[in-house]
Amino acid sequence: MRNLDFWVIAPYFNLFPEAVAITLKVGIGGFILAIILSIIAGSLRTRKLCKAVHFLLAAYVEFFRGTPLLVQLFIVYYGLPSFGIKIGPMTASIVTMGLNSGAYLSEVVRAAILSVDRGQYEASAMLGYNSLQTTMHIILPQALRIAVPSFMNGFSSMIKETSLISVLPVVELTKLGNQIYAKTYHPFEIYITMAIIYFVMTYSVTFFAKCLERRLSIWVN
Amino acid sequence: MGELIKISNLSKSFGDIKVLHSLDMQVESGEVVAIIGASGSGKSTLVRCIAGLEPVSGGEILLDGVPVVNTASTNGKVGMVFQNFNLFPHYTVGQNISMPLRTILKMKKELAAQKAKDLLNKVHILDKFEQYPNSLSGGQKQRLAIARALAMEPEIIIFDEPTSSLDPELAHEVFETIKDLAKEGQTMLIVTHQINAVRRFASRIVFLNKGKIEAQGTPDYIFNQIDNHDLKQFLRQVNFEDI
Ligand SMILES: Nc1ncnc2c1ncn2[C@@H]1O[C@H](COP(=O)(O)OP(=O)(O)O)[C@@H](O)[C@H]1O
Ligand SMILES: [Mg+2]
Repeated sequence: MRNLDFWVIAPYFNLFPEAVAITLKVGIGGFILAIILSIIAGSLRTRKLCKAVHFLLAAYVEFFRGTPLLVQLFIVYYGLPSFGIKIGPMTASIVTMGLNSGAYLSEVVRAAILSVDRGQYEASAMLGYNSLQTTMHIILPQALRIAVPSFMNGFSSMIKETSLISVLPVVELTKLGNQIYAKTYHPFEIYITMAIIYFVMTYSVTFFAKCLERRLSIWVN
Repeated sequence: MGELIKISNLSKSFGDIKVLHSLDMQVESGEVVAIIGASGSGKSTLVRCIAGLEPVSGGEILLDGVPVVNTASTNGKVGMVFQNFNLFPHYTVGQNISMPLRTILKMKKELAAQKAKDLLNKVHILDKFEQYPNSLSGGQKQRLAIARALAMEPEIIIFDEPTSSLDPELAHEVFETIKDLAKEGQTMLIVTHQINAVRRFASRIVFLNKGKIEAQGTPDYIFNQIDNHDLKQFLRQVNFEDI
């Protein structure tokens, strides 16, 4: 067995901050987009709307849940330009990850909304809230409180899944690992280091999620 | 005093099950009407129709002369206090009152908070202002629900078994609050099994039997004068449970 030598990575340390920044940018950007999409799609799916809207929403969710993220990434980055829509690799990554995670999380939002007691709707209606006010002020805050743990899991998954965008011309963490490997041939040291960095990021999210849940639990039923 | 609610020929069915049978009833403003009757006799259905929470199957409910078809058509004139409170768990006790005022009536923050304080003081839970409803006792929860309904200044407040999920002492607190409102002339419609609690301040008692009004009148008339077999049997039963 060969001796481990983590020092071979040292000359490339200056490249890490940039790669971490890109990973975080895509992870956070995609997550924010996913939150917005999931709240909109999830709320709409619990309402009585015309069939066409429901069909489109269902198609969106099923498509992104039923196909591989990597293929979705290729469709957005390589496929859209043939329709005249040209976007950079970063934007393509954020949009794809956001759409993908948004599809999963919209189901979480929908289930959370349906789990809010019917009495909340009746109490709101009797006080004079209209339907939109009821959703925005009464139902969504309670539903999102229920959805927080799933959202945080989604964020954590998203950070890990950003490694897939290494197939696009973007130097995020995994791509950087590949590049250093090509120059040093020390795969174990390199990928262990990358794994540790990913772990620190996802663990921070988990830690933050625990704090958030504890804060929100003061008003839980 | 004018007629606030006029119900004529009201019927209500759920699918094939007929729950209310061409019912007529009036409520004048200032009246406190108690609705009693066995479980399943249609009390909740009746008050939910009046509140606009259930569509009627036949007949008409007029509120201030305007037909009630849904909650929007009651236009904030009807307040409702539910058996299981239905407080907003994500709002503090104070916000349960102030937020509806701000959201619906666009009231200024300070003004809404002041109104919340006044109402909480009135139902004796001002000290809970900053807490969340989950820290309140059942009786305090129901008194908050009453204060929240009062904040919108409804012309009538409907109570559907407000004390059924409470221990007797806590139910007593709630009835004291309702009695105070009765003294102030608040129009109320109260569905309850605790007839001994409401007979002291109800202006009229309506006995609902199998979806029909079997008897109605002053508490004295209902308890002492009228000779109705189903009513007597019902009163015996509830009195027995009350002990
Ligand atoms: N949403 C509903 N769907 C079907 N049946 C109902 C519904 N609500 C009430 N009922 C029926 O209507 C009858 C009267 O119910 P309810 O008004 O709740 O009576 P009460 O409040 O006097 O106990 C009961 O037989 C009940 O099963
Ligand atoms: Mg009932």
